[in-house]
Amino acid sequence: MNLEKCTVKELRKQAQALAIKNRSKMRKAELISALKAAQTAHASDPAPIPEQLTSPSSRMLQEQKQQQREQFPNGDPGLPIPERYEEDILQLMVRDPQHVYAYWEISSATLEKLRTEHGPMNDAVLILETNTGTEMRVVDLTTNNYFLTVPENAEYRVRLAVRDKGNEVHNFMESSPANTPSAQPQTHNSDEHQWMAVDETGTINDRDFHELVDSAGLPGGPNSASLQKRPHTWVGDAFNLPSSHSFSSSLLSSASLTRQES
Amino acid sequence: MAHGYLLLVLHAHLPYVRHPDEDDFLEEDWLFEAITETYIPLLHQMDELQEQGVYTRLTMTWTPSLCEMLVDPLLQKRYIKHITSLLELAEQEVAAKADTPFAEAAVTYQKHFEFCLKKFKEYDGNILLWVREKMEAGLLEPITCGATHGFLPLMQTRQAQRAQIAIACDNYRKHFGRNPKGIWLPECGFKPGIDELLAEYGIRFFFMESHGLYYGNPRPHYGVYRPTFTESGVAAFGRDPDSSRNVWSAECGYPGNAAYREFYRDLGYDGDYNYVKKYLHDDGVRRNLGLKYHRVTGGVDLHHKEPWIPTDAFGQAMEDGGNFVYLRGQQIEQLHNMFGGDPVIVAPYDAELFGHWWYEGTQFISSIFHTAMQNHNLTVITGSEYLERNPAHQVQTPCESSWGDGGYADVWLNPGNEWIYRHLHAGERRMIEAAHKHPDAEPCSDIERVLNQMARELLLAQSSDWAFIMTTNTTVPYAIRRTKDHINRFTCLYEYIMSGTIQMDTVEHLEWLDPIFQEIDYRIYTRHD
Repeated sequence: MNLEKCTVKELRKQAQALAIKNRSKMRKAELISALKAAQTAHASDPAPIPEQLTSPSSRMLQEQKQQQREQFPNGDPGLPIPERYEEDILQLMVRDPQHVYAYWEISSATLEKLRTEHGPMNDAVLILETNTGTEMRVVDLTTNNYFLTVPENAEYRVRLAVRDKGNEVHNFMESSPANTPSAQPQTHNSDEHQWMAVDETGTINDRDFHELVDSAGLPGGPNSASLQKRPHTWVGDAFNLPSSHSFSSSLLSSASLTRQES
Repeated sequence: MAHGYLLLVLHAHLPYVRHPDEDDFLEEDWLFEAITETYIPLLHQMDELQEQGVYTRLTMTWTPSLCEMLVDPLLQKRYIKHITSLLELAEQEVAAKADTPFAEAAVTYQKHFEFCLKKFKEYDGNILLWVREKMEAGLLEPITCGATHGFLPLMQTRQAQRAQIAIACDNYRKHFGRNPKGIWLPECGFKPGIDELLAEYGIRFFFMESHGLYYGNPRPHYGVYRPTFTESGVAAFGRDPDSSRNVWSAECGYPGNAAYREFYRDLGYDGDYNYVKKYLHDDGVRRNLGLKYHRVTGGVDLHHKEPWIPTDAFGQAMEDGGNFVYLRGQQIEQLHNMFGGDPVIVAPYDAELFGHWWYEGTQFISSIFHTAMQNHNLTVITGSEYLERNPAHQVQTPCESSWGDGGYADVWLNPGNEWIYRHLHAGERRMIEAAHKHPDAEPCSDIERVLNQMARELLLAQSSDWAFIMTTNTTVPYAIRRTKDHINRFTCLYEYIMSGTIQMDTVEHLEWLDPIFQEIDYRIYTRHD
């Protein structure tokens, strides 16, 4: 690779891949010298660089992986993910006809607000709303999920609330509704059966069919006189046929022949 | 005489596993084993059926993540290395097992691996071209699946569900040159409303577990023996339990026959360590190599299994295929008496059952088509063909369901894997937020590249395979790692968008690490109903 033809940005990227120190302070000429020196050092390395490691930043990641292997001898546990999203979330999910699952996060701002309004507290209540009433579960504010056993084929919501010293409940979050599915056939009602036919054969639909008919200039049809105002491509192409074209004249419609003459 | 249809469906799927930064990655073997043991043998059977003029109709999912791996040059190169090495071992085995009861098996493997290498090279490493040939010859209808096999009922937003379907349809068009008519919903995971998204993309049919139809509203007139139309006009085909039982049942399923190859005795474990070491992974741990020499034998423990005799086993497969069609014929008679009219028996299976788990399974499939051709009360048919011939069906809202253990979402939502959802849902919300922040990014700009890569990372995190593995307790650390890696990368890219400061070298690196769906367009996350 001709380093002289690379931009400074490209040279810095390569320098980063080779972990060349002080690269951000170097000018182009210095970067080129440093890279050439680094490449000469690698050229004497007897082990060829496997093809899949030639992406510059993969070299950097390879070093990180080596460090990780030393740190985690039992295998890569995966990269770090957020512990919190700092959003107020209460989500209700359906697992099966008899179980729903709620998870939540309470943002620091909301926790602070709750403490200010209701004093210090260690727990909250998760309220399950069903069509027959509500149920409550006390939840530790540090836990953030709950599996609930419920009847099938019904709609549910959950709310999170705090209880004050007077045992009064103050809602502060509500989920969207969720429906548990059925675990048995519906009762039979012969009046309810609807049928539908969907044509799968790919024939043209009514609208397209009538459009074609209308614009075809068929005898007695709406546009038989107005074809000249709305040419189709295939008729237009006929005008561009060279005189030596091998198409037989029978392929040209009488409409286009008429237009040619005019 | 009663008449009916057999709609045979094979679902071929693997999660996207590609590690360009490591040259010997264990989990990439899943793909290599599936190519060697299922995809090539199945396509070979289809070639033979075609040559012999046997009427063949197979509906088959080739999931987008699987397609992307099959056309990937790095994985193709690694497959050649893998099969070449296996062939070398098989050749040594032919010599080592000569004049023993294992001789025929050794020769079978040597010929099989040689064939795989030859066919793979014939298609320049891209066996999807072979699939397309069978599609164009009319033997096979490929259908699509969720982009990364995400479990749709557990997604928070409609946009995320739509993206899995839309991106899958785009990807199908890329690989097959036409629009998909059918879809295999990941794990048959259905919730009312998902059908509207399918209709939006021109999908005509999907498949459900039996109770999806049986518990639907109203009751299905014909049980699972005719599809129902959802209100949005998409057909739902329900699985027939009997044909499943014949194959899957541990007590009486075909694969349990004494003559068939035993999966749990393998040269990787049985062979002399110094002899097999070269063919194991870098860690030197004994693993399955795919050279297995024993048969099921019967109710005996692993140490007492008898030698596997391929000719006997393949003969048994032909017989079992014939029996399967005979039973379906009986079933059709009974259903005809029950309902009047021609039933359709929907028989879906994981493709990898045939060949990988049950070595002789692809011969079984071939035998089904041979026998069906002689059977005048049964016609094999694809999903599309069935609907073309039978356009009128009962309207129903199917029940929320899946084909996972328990029949609902238990496998993907339980104390072992619930932790992932707050992250996946945050990913959905953040993807929608970021897409709306730049609804019309300049084509090929840095911003567009970041947003497209965000979409890739979210999709890869959403693979239902990770939650599934966490429940079935197989390669759990890998599943956890994949979930976390993709959430980490997604979060990094999200922060670039929100801060306005983009480190393009990191973006390039992520594009190199996770290059799935080169055609992706993040703007799908800005679509609304």
